Amino acid sequence: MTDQLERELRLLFAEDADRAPEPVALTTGARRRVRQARRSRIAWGAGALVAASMAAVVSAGALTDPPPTERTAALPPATSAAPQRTGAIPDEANGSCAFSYSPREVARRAFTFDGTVTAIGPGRSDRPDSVLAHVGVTFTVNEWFTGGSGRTVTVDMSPPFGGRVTMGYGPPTYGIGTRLLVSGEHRWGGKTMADAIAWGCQFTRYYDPATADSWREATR
Amino acid sequence: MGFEEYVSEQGRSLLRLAYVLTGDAHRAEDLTQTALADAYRHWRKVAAAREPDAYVRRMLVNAHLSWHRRRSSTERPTDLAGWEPPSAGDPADEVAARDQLRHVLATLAPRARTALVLRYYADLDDAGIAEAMGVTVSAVRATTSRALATLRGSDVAAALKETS
Repeated sequence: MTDQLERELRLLFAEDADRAPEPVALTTGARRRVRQARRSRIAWGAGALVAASMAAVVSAGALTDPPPTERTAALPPATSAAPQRTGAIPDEANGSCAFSYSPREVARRAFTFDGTVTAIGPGRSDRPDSVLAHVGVTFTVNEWFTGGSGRTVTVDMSPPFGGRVTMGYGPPTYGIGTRLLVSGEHRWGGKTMADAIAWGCQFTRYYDPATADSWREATR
Repeated sequence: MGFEEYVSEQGRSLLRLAYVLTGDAHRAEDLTQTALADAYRHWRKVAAAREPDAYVRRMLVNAHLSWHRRRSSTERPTDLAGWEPPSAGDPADEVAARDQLRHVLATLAPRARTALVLRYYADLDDAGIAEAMGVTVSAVRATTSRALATLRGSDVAAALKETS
């Protein structure tokens, strides 16, 4: 019996392991946490000085910018934040991506579209006890390649302060008005866009006609 | 070895271990990133360790057990009251028996379940489990022995006999 029980335990755990999610952007996530922890320590350590500086920056922005929408308050419009960028949205996934980017691999994602960012708000797919901090990005969809329909869609993404940004205070990687080619998956296996999450690892890219053509071709 | 290279080589197996420990994709992801963030913070020390894998695995197991400690005031064992053992002759007996085993495993104390996962999934010996869990070898032996006794004493033993 003991041998059989032990054999069953091995089989059961192996079976469970096969159901584990694919590792996506583990390096990015780990580094983001380190940055968050450092930011938190710095904020506490510097105390009032840092708070005052941040307040001054935000206030200055508030004086010149239009009224803020949710978390977009401190984000400059894309025209000044990321002019005419091409290629993948920067992230720090490096070698930890489960799949290498190619239009063919894009076509295997649950959804793919060409859209322009119109709002950035709270993420929708993070579980309540999560320390991951995705944001919900709303797009006006210029073209659906696969997996959706409708003029607008909201998907979760890494915050626009991702990528190679020291301490998280660099220029935003995207903002209101940025046109992106987005591909991703249903994070928790859902059928609607409620748990849709845009993939990093080069699977979400700045729009350019040639890349859009290659996605259109691959998803045809 | 650099951090990226390490994650590239070991990230998947860490995530699999985390998933077997937690049984939840989100928590597994969370746990793996927590362990990797710790590793990244102390990378020089990790890279210089005799066995970097064991070092990071210990971080992951610690994070897992800490998470349970933090939740211990609200956590309740799985309710088995409504569960019925599979009827004899059911063609799905084997699957059902395994599901039953999974169910009973969920009722074990987190330390006991972790010890079983490290033994029967990660294939560690008592010393390896002790190192990963930060306890003594004798504590590992006592914990696993009690956990196996609990499993043997449950209905799952009968279900396994019927399917053998």
